[in-house]
Amino acid sequence: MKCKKAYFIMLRHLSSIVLLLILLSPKDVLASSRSTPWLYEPRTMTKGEVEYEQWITWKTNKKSDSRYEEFRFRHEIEWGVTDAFQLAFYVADWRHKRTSNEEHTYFHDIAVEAIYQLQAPNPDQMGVALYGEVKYGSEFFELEGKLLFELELDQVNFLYNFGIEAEWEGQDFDEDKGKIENAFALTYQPTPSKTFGLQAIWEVEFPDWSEQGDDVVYIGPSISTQSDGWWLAVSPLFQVTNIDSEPDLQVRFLFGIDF
Amino acid sequence: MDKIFTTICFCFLFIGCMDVTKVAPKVDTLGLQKNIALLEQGRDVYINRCTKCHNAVRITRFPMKEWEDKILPEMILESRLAPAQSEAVTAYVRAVLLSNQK
Repeated sequence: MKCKKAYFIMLRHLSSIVLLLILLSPKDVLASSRSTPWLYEPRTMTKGEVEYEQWITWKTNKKSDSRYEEFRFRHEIEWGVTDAFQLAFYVADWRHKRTSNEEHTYFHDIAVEAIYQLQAPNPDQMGVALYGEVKYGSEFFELEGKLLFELELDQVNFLYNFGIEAEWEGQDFDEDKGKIENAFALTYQPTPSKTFGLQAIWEVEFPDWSEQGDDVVYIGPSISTQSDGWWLAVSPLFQVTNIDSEPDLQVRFLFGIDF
Repeated sequence: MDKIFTTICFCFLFIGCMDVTKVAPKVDTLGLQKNIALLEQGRDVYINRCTKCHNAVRITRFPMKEWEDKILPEMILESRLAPAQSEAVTAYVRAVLLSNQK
């Protein structure tokens, strides 16, 4: 009950902030931005551009644990090394987690991410980029690779991310698992500074890389706005499968500031 | 499953109805004989630099006055274009609009 109340309060606050910023934002002035919080786009920053990006992800409503609630925070610095290559440093990923057994706030990891653009999306060609990420934390190590695609059709875009992830946990990093992710998005850009979208994510886990584990699908809308020097994006995702150990609702809020 | 199939069909129908060639028409379709190299460069800037931050906007969505007084000056500044690139993209946008009026 408490969880539901917090969920509605948070949704109301987020919606108010987003609507206010959309109304206040000047038309057609831009910053480098993300329009889909759960997918990456093959657009990279211009050379020399630096941006601070803040992530907040809220996860709740797990059938296997009625008290479950988690907030994940990421502080990220992005840097355009060349017009087609960008690096990002996750200065800190930290989390606040509440379960039936405990409630604690803890540091999770730091990370480096690289995106290399093979082809920028434009009306003539589909955008393609390679994505790589290395995460390291206390008793945690992760490698992630993605292929990013974007098809630009006037004001409508199709995005597809294929990702594969390998994770090692435990004192001796002996608990390993893999994950394959397919993510799709359809977005509509009524003006260059505003984007509305629909996102779907299909994740398959492989504990110990031996057998297929949970197979979970999330779907949800997204909205983003950008202005001169800043942008923000928000997207709730709802679980459409029936995996009790995964949260039924995840909300991701991102904002960036250009330097 | 039927719903997913219907949605996919609808998406493809939707894509099929879009004429992406009109977003930033190729120079050889404008029916011009002069300044072809400049216009080619302008189109290249238009589809590669503007799309760093957003989709390439269908040029004919806005009138010439709005392009010249507002959009181009603001975007040239925002994209930090060199004078030669600014000249080329302005010439290309103008050529597309003029060709559309014919």
